[in-house]
Amino acid sequence: MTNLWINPAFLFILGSFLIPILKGRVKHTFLLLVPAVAFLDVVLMSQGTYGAVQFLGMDLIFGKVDRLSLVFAHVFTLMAFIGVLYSLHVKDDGQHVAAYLYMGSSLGAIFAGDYVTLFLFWEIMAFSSVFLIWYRRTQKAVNAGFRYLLVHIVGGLFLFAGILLRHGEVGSFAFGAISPEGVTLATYLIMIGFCLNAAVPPIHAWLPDAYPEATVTGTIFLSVFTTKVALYALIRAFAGFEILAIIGPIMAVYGVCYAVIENDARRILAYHMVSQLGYMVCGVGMGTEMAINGAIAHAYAYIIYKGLLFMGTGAVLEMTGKSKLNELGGLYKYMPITLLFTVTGGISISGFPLTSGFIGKSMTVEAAESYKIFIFLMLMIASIGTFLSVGLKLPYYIWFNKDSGIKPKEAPLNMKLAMGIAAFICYFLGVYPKFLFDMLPYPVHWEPYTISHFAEVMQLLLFTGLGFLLLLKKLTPEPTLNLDVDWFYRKGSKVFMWVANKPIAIYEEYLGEIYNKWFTNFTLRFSNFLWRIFDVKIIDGIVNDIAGFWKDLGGVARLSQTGLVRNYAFFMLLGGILFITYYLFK
Amino acid sequence: MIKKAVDYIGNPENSGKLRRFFYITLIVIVLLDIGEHLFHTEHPVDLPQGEHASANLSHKGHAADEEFIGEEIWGFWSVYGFIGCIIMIIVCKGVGHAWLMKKENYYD
Repeated sequence: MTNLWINPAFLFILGSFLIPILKGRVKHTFLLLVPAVAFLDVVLMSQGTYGAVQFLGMDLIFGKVDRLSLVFAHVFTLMAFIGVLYSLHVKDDGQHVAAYLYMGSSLGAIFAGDYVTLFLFWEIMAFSSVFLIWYRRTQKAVNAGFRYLLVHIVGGLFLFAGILLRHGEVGSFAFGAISPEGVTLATYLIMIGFCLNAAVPPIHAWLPDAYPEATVTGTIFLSVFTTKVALYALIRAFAGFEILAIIGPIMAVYGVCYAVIENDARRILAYHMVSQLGYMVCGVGMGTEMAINGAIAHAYAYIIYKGLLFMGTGAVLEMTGKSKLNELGGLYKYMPITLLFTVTGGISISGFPLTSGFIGKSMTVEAAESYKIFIFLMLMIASIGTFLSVGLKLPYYIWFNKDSGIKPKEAPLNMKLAMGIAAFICYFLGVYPKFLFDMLPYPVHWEPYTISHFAEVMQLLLFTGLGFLLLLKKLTPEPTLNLDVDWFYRKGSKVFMWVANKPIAIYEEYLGEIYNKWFTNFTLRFSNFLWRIFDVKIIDGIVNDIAGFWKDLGGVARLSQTGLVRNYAFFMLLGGILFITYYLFK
Repeated sequence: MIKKAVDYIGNPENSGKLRRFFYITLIVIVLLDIGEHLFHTEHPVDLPQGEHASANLSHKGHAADEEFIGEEIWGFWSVYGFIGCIIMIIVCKGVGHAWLMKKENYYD
């Protein structure tokens, strides 16, 4: 280690332990301070390799800092600040802790220089983020959280298998670009693992299933990290894989089609995430300098405006308790500021001039034009659907249309501030794209503000608006549920349950035994140990606070006390043992 | 101020005026596109950092002879946007009603 490097991941992870102890203003300040410090840390960071550790003969690198990881860390810490500000009013310490762990592990994954470190943080991400769903405390959220966890564990296993196989082939865990020539099973397994987190169809359904069920503030964090870390990993490893350039536009169109027919505002946005990720995945697949720049610029801008859109609809959900379009309407008199911010997000995501979408998304689209025309035309179709579903339909049916009779108050100050900052960034990047372009890995030889680009975008969007106006009646939101590929595991689970009830039940007893003997025992001893330390060294008040926090967390964790999660834990343990054995005896 | 502007837009009495304004914008933007084709301004417009654009690349970042044919047609993107939007609404809603849309308690 040549000079001091502070991993922003550890700022969040260590910071999360302090949250339950702090109170009132101190806590609020602390919650905001950590992302602010992390942001400064990233801004001041210089490129290089830091934090190399030897572990069981493996070289673990915690700090691979280059232009690619820096630009992602930049927007992650920025959005972390905005997200924390937005959720400052939340009383549940557990939500803050989960968000912190989730953000920390995402940053850890961004700076990981090897697959082992990456995988470690990858799994922490899955397990911390699911709490942001469970804390909604509805039966739907609990179920969706389980499906989310299940899918991510399967994805993690694919990734894990790929990493091990790859190590057998190349003899190292180094995480870097993989050549599109000579791909093996290992390459595909890793790609599947990444693609699952990037919500690439047909392994995308976890996203629109789970994200809308999360807490109001949890969704903001969820929308930022998991998919963008996956995108980062794809850029790092799979730039130039043509298959991604073909899947990308399919994703882009697939996502908007669902967004057009969906009724729940937050599910519209979730489906729309699949679509926007499609642009970026396409950019990765094209692999040219402009396309990669485009994918990253898009991701940067996208994190801010998608966050803003989720914040806007989240504010409506917070104030009205509703997120379904058919139950909303006429809110313009009561929540005009939230409307303004949400529309800012909507026009940014559509790529209107002077917003960040115009300079971010367009770069990928322009790169596609010189790559393959049909990809370019599909991305243009997705742009139409974007403006239609998110720019027009969503705000229209929430704020205008019929009067739903709901008279909510405007969102609280911290929410408005957070939305205001995000909205400002959307315009700032649109007006001053150089700020973003200078951070990209490759030099940008592209000028967004030309008359022909302006005319092209404006025609496409405004005539989409005309189509919307003419077919307004056809678009009326309907209270329905739309089938997607999650059908296979939601209906298919009935078959699974039979298997689980009959043959596996025999093993279940055995597993329960192990769990009781080892896990419970360990936890008891550990908490006993902690209790002694705290009782002796720290005043009683703090102990009570912590106890209260763990009691709360325990309430949520209780949801996970079913055989299923124990089984996951068992498999994870088993995997860990296999993994270590492999290294000791190979 | 925001509230006033939003109230103005939301007020059904003003919808006629807003609609007319929207139609005029449509015409203006198509005229702009036609003008752009006639005078073929390949140069970046006078906006911040317009001067830095790379000299030997066109604004698309590739040679001009690779241009997509649609770029040569007046108002191509207007037609593409309009038809695309109509088809998308009809097809998505159609497939939705025929197959994808189920009752909200479908999985319960």
